[in-house]
Amino acid sequence: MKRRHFIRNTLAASVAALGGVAALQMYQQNQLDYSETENLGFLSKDDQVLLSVLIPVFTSGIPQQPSVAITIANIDKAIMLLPLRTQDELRQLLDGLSNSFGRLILAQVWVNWQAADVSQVNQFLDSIREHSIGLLQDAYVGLHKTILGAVYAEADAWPTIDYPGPPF
Amino acid sequence: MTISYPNTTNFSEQTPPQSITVDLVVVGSGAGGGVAAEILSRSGLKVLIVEEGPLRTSADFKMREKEAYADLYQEVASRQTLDKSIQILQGRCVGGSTTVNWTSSFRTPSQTLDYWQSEFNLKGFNREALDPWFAWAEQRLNIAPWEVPPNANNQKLADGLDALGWSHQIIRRNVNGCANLGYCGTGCPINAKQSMLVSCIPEALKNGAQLFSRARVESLIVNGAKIDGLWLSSMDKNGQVKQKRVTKVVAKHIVLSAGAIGSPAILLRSSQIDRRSSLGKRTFLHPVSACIGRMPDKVNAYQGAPQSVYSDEFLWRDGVAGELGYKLEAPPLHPTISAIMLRQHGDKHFELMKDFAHFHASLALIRDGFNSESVGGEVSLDSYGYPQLDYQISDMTWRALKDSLLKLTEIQFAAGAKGVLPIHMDASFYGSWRQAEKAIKALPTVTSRFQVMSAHVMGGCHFGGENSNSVCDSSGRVNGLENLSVMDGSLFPTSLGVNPQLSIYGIVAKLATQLGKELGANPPEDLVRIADMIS
Repeated sequence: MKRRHFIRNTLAASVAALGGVAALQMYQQNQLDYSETENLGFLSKDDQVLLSVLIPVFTSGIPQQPSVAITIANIDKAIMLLPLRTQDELRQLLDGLSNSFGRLILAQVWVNWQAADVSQVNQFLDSIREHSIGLLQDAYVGLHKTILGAVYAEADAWPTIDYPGPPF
Repeated sequence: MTISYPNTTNFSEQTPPQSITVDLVVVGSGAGGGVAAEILSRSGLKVLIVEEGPLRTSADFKMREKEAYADLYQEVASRQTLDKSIQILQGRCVGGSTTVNWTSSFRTPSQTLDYWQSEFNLKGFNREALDPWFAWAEQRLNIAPWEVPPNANNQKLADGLDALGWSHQIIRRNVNGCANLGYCGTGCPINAKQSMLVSCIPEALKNGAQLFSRARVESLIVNGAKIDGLWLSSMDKNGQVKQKRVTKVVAKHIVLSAGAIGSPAILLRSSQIDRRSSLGKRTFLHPVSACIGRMPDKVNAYQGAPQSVYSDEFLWRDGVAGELGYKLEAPPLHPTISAIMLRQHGDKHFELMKDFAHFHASLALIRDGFNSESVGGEVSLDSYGYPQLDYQISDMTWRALKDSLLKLTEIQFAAGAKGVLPIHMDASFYGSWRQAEKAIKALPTVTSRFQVMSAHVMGGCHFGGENSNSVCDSSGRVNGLENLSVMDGSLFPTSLGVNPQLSIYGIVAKLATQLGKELGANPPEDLVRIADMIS
């Protein structure tokens, strides 16, 4: 089975486990707002909406919240430097989360991504971090690395961890 | 001091030549390529150096992870094995990994050399034969024991080892005028680190060598038992192939120094290369386990020489070919790399990160390859012709990784840690050694949970004597091909048990001097004297 199909089937199974009908109804009731998205090299508008939900949740403990727009721009630049094979994998992951099945999983957890409750998204991340399906654990690690790597690369995050930055 | 880089062409910004004819081409500008290029250009040969990464110098080095990982590392410092189980830090720039390494310098251990001789029939690489070459490299690159007191992060490692009665020593470093900043990993901003970027590469250029940066070798042009030359592709500013086969290089001799993933990949991309040997196989990583200790006082593990203390207490713990031993060292901590290592999110992540300044980190690097159960990984090509490394962690390696976590934890508590966190997705901060010991023993040894790292890639084109199924002979020549040599860490038939740079410098100095003589050139006298003394 091709990886792309595997992701789709895996997500579909997860939706079923979560009770997909209710989720489908919720999904159909909610439209996404693309007004804050940019034309970037790799990340589509759907990807940006997804990340704009996930970034504040990954970083919710940081007293000084990072800029979502800068973080997304940094992530995009970094992805453009990755080998094409890795870019393909990221595309499949992000599509998997943004396509109908992915949205269904997410919709099960919150009604509208952009009005999401942080604790519910946190639970979603907790669940994929511990998921018995390796692919979903990989998705967690991929999102974690991508988002938190980009956040702590910026000087804005440093005072919160008592890091003074380079000496000159 | 300003260092000049004459005779360089940046393939992402300048128009590459359609063809070029040289005596010798060196592919890669890291530890192997740098030394080979210096020696062979000083021998009077017309040398071309080809580097897929960019030329960045101290003026570009701003001590920030963001720019450094993007500019200087393979895959934005997130290269990983095929199953994503091991994260690999590896350089991709002029100077290769030497531009970003932590300067630790060790001669190849005698146990390793003896093993190569007995298991791979490798002649001429014993202690006596190699020590003069290491001495040459040490002088050339100012390698000496670090005389400044260790930074707090390294001192904690020493304190813990002392408290338990375990041995430790001071690391030798390739620096000259080091200001003890702690930013070796993002490129030395004051040219104190004697990387290839500031030593052998500029020396080769001064001797008339040319450097093509942002140029990748697409394939070798094989003609029977001879290589006629090679095809270069240009790379864009994102490190992606811009134009394939843009330049044809014609050379009398080709030296591959593209590292233990890059060199096998070039051979695999070239048709008519014999695949029956161990080509691409026996790739070793020194798999690394790590622990973070929360100290009562600030450690500021980003500050000061990143590595100055090591322990070989457990390196040969079960003999050379028994259970895999490990070397203990301390890694520096910077915000991005720490944030990625701590695999939590939201409040739980910041709860860990807020103590960043109090973190002390230590690691164990596992000596893989010295046992029939430790066969290493295999480099192959993906559908884009780009290399990928399949490395399956053996049961024996898991045992060593877990055993090393126990030792690291015990040492950190002995050094005064109030809590210790093994880097594993199912671990948390443990408040006592007894609690940690019990928890670590129960941690699952599975790839998706146990976070394993590596900064040392070795093997894939290993050399050896007769009947060793080697890719190269003891001169570094690829078997069956007259004018193709490998001169980098991919020659090693096992891992080393020590950080690899000095082993590469010394062994390549020997091989390049020998090659210079064989090609009828005039290698530098000091090197010829060493070669004559040993033979």
